[in-house]
Amino acid sequence: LHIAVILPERYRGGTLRGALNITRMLAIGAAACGQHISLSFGHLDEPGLYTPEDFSELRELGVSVRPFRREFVRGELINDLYQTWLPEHAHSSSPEYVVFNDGISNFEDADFWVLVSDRLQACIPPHRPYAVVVYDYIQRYVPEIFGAPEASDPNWHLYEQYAEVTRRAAFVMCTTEQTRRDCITYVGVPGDQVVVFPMEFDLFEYDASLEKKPVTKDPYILWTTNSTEHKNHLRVIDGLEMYFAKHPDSPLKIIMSGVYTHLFSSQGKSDPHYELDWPRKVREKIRTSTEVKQRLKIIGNVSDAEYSSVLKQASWLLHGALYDNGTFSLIEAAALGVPSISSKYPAIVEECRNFKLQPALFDPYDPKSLEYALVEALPKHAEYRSRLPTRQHLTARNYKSLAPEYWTTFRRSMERLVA
Amino acid sequence: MKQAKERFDVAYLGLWPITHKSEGLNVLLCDTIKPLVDDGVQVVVHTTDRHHHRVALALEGNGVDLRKVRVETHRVGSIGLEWIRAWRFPSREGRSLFARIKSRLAPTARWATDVAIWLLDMTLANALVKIPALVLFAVFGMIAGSVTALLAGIALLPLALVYLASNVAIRTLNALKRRFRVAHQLYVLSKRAARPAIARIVPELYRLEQERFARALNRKAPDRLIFFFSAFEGHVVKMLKSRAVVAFPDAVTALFPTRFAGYLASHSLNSMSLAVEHASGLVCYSKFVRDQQLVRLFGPLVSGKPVEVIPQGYFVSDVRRQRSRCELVAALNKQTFRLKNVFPTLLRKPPVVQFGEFDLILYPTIDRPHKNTTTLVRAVEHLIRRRHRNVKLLLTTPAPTEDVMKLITSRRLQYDVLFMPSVPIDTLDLLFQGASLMVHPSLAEGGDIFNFSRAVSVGVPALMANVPVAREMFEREGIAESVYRDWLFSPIEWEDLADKMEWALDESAGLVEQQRATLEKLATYDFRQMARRYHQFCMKVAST
Repeated sequence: LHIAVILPERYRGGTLRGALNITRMLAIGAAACGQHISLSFGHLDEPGLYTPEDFSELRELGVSVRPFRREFVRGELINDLYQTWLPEHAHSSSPEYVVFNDGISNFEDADFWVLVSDRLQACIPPHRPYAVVVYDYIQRYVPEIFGAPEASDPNWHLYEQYAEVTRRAAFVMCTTEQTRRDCITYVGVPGDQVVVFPMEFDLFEYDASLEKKPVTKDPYILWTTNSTEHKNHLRVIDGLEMYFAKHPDSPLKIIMSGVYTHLFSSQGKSDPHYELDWPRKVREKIRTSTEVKQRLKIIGNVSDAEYSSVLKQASWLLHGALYDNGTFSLIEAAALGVPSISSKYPAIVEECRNFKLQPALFDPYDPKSLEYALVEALPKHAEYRSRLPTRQHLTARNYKSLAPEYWTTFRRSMERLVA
Repeated sequence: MKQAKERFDVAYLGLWPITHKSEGLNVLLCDTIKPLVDDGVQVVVHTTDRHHHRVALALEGNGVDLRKVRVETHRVGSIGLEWIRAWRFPSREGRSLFARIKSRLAPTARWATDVAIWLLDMTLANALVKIPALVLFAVFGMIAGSVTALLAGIALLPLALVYLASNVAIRTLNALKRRFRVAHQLYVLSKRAARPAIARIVPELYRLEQERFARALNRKAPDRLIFFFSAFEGHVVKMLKSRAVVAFPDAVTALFPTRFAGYLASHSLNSMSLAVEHASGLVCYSKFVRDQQLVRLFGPLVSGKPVEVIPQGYFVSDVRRQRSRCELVAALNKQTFRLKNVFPTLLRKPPVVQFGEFDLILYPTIDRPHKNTTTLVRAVEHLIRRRHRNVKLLLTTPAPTEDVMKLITSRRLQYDVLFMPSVPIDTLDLLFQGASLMVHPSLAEGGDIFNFSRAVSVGVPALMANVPVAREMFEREGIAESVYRDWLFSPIEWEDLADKMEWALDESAGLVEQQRATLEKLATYDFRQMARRYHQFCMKVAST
């Protein structure tokens, strides 16, 4: 069996890490189960996008790393071939297909493809069986992230295409029950074709020697976020403002960190996204929230080492999103002994169950609920800390430990759903 | 043995009558006709040639066997009204001119290709035969082609030019309106500019059509009492020499005049007024409509006339139609082709749906300004986005009203609010059986909410807006308020509705059991009795 894991877009960060972990889990899991498989890993061949070090661990596991160019082929050129040798696929023809041209076989030598994300501007040629990994459908719950409602936004049309790619998959791989449900109800994938795979977590080793100087001398709440609307900044600021207005003597500061969060302060002025609607609204909200304004420090996007250091020294971690597929930040905080205050939505509830996390939860749509959670939780710091999961428990969820289960789930799905 | 067969004459007209099966008037008409036909009453439906195919759609769609009904078609229908209708509501399903020509020419092209292959399959042995044949074929082809093209060109050129020009203009406008807001506004403005003139022309054309229809009835059935199942045909009733019984379903246009502005409301009310004035007898579906709408709005015109309140019948549980969950889901998923994309700027095709994988909330209705669909859409949004409930809403309306359209568009609910318009009665039954909850948020109805009995009879709980006719439905049979209070919700509080929907979904089994017990009490009065009462009332009016 030859499986190709393909990263079809210019992903780095979490999605790249996810794709690498999937490949590693398939390799390690199959070997642990005594099964021999070949693995290829495909990524876009663009200068400067990836370095050989990104894939060194895959190579050590015997995975072939194959860069490719993404090409689009007129549907009729391929459909004509199906007329003669694969007529049963004619019904699922498309005006255009995407091809991953690696200059060798276009991955046709693989028996099965795993696409890490559905972000494809055309369909996969229908003779290729594949699985697709999906993370979340935030736009169903927070439609604003796809743009202004008045305009006929291109994001929605692109989503239709992505959904088509997902529906045509032999099976869909997701990591939470909520995303599984969205796949079925929102995208329209038949229920038996959506499989929940175990969610892995790479427990990093904290290196005390790399610890940085504290960002502030006062105790602080680390607010991990990014600049998108579903991160719910306005309501979170309202909740914090309500709390600090009633507790003006609290020594707590707020440190905000995350991708593009520099847009929320004057540091981001030179960024072309500075004048976007949402960052502008958040800046305005900060400006008018006097208590939050004097306590808030935005450190923007920092390196992993720096982030670990800031997190380790935090009193609390704050996560306030309206909806997503869950966040590793709660688990990372727990691993470093930092309790969390988190918004409550299905993926977080699931994550808390899986990782035995017990954060202080609040309704992300209600600032008063955040205020209440702060009032309730902050005096009980020691108690929340003592309820954090053990390091052993978190280690049990890393990719190496989960690999056999991951492979077994994958193999069963293939046996059941791939002709 | 019967001396002479009893007869029931119905007029079927309408400016642009709604033929969809969910339309209440159609449902009621058919539920009146069916039992009468079964009882051996001869039902005669009078209509115009403009309405003929719509009669068939409305009646057959609701399970009336057209072979058992006599349809008298009078050739008085207005062609002009159909033109205006086609202009105002263009068909979206029509294929392009080029696609149609291509498909027509496909067999000829295949034949010509076959001949060409035979001619070109040349060897030394057959060359002597095929070369002359090839030359002949080429020459003949050229001559025939040129002559045909010339003649066709001469004959069709002006027509084709006009057609092409208009087609290109419409397509360009449609394409532009998707891309550029300014062009779209221009398009909307051009249509709007014509509206005042159309608003004057349409009622006049319809009045003239009604008068022709009345003259035709006077000629063909001068001594027959005619039953009008709506009060919109006032000009016919006025000119009719024979007696007329008119059903007065409601006057929602007068109850919510600002919501119906632009819906030819004044024309409708004028027609109603004429119908009430000239009818020999009137039927209402509820006491509320009789007292609060008919008598209050048209008091002097009603006085002294017999007015009968004939409530609608109830759907009773039909165990034979119940299917297993698997069969039901499979049957529903075969109906997904009926889903319609009513948001062409948001979606290229209708959403792909897997019935059985979510709680289906059903609101079978034709959306109009008083149907209060926005409250339901808001509640559904709340359930999905705030409460993370696995639900979708399905509407059977052909198209949403502007408010609903705007709400769905602005909240981007195009994947969670589905439209399955004009479904046949079997599909509607399927939808009811497959639903987890039926919600009827309408602010006004003429009488009983038959979605209630339709849902409960197949084991689906129902919630209804707390409006007088909903209460009357239960009160008439002496059911205590404490029994049905929880099934009603305030029609203006969408958060309350969301709470109630969540409760109904969680407590479905217990709720439907209570509702079933109530329905059993209500269902002692069924459609057969309702139809009998209509017939008896008509006979009574005819004999006085």
